[in-house]
Amino acid sequence: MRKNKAVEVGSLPSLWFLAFFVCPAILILFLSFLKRSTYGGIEYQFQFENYRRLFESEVYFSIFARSLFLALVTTVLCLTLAIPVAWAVAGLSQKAKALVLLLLGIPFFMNLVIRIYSVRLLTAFDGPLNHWLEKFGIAIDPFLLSQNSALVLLGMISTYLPYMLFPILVAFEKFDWTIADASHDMGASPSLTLRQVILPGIKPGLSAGILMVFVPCFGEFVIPDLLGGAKNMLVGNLITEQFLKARDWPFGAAQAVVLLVILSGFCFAIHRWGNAGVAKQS
Amino acid sequence: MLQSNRKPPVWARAFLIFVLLMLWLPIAVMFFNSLDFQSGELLQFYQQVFNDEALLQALQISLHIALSSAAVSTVLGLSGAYAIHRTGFAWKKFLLVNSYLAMLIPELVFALALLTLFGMIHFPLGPTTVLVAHVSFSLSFSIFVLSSRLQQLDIFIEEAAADLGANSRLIFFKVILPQIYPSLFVSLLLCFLLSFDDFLITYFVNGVGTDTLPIKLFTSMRIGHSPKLSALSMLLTAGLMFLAIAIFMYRNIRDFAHSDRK
Repeated sequence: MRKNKAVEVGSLPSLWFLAFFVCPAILILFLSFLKRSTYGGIEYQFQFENYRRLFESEVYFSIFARSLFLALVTTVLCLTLAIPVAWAVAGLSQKAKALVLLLLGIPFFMNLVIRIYSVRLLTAFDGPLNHWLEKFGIAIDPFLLSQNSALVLLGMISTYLPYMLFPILVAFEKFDWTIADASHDMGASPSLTLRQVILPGIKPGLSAGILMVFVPCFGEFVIPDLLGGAKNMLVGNLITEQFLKARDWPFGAAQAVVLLVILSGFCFAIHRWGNAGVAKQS
Repeated sequence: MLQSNRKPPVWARAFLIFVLLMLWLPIAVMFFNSLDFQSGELLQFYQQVFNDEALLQALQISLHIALSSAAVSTVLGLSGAYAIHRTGFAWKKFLLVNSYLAMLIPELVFALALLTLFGMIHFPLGPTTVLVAHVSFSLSFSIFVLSSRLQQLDIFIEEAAADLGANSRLIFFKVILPQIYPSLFVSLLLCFLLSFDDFLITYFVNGVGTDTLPIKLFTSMRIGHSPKLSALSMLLTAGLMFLAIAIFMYRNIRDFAHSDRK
């Protein structure tokens, strides 16, 4: 290891992180205990009011609960889709695998806003889905069709499925299939092999995927905003509103702190679960 | 290819087809929406996109910020990666931990943290704040890409250079740098894409009149949908798609070229 005689070159990125990552994080914590001044600025007066408001009102609790529920459902559905898909992809020939990965990857590279827009187009009141439903005589209120919570769920899954898919794919590639062979030889049915042998074997991939879906999903703003309509408010919308519309920054900061605490707890739990009982593979 | 009793079950393949459909159906709808089958000109909406002044300006702003952000991120990322893997820098752990954390926290929190910072020091929102924000969240990725490349390098070559009398600066510029050019390119491209595509953080910290393209897209989409918007979306998707394929192919060519050098 060489010691640089000149100014340490690593100080530049460190200062950047300090100024624009660590510092802002501390500021939010600090801000959550302050008060909103009359015209939307900040009054430097220490108080617990923000947290009290947050925990006492039923409205905010239901928003957090709904977001938590939606994130959990998204994660579970992504799991149920990603495991078979990753299994299918792992079993393809080299060429087919490259092609399928490309086909799976391209929608992943789409801009989030564009992707959600395309989902909206599909279900728009003058769009193809409504058109075909009418043809078959199924009458659904077209405006309801284009903005509802099921659609938010669909948007979430379309966006975050690749984040679940790729870690699990990697885990499948690394998986030692001889163990599955042994299980098969000993007479286990395919579904038993899946549950008892394969799934525990890819647990690290599963936990990585779960984290990469749940964390962004819980704080998502764009998807519920564009697809959810007025009635579907999630944590992301709530916080964004505090900062950009209601101009109650301290209150928004308090919500953000609660969000982070919940996420940290979840990450910790999943991390523990993911590493429990996994034998070190040489 | 897996043996026959290892082959994934049929229903797994059915899931694959279902997922592919689910991902591509909206794109197909958007594609057909962007074409004009009713009047004579098929590509009318694409032409409207190219003639729209406001859109072109937003594109220009997006490009400026993305290019600057990529450059600054990569330079800082290189400093960081080098400091972590080639020096006895005292704050190595701080850098590492921060770069991981910055990748893990939700974008929303990042966005409001930066907005809070700028608000509290009364720094005016505009292209500068957007640039700072973009560099901040792409720095981690740059460090990650360059770190992994630096770790792959053969350190004996650098030590040989040191034995022959080269100082750190000479070693960096003459030995390390030439070996990492492809990774520098990947870092630039990745940071460019991250910045160009970003919506949420930009939405929080941009001022009036510095709308990037994703912001313009969002505000237009909130109002409603139109074939012109679909045309713009198709153009952006196709453009970014080609860039993504370029990364993919460049990496494969580079790995192929490097494999016979060892």
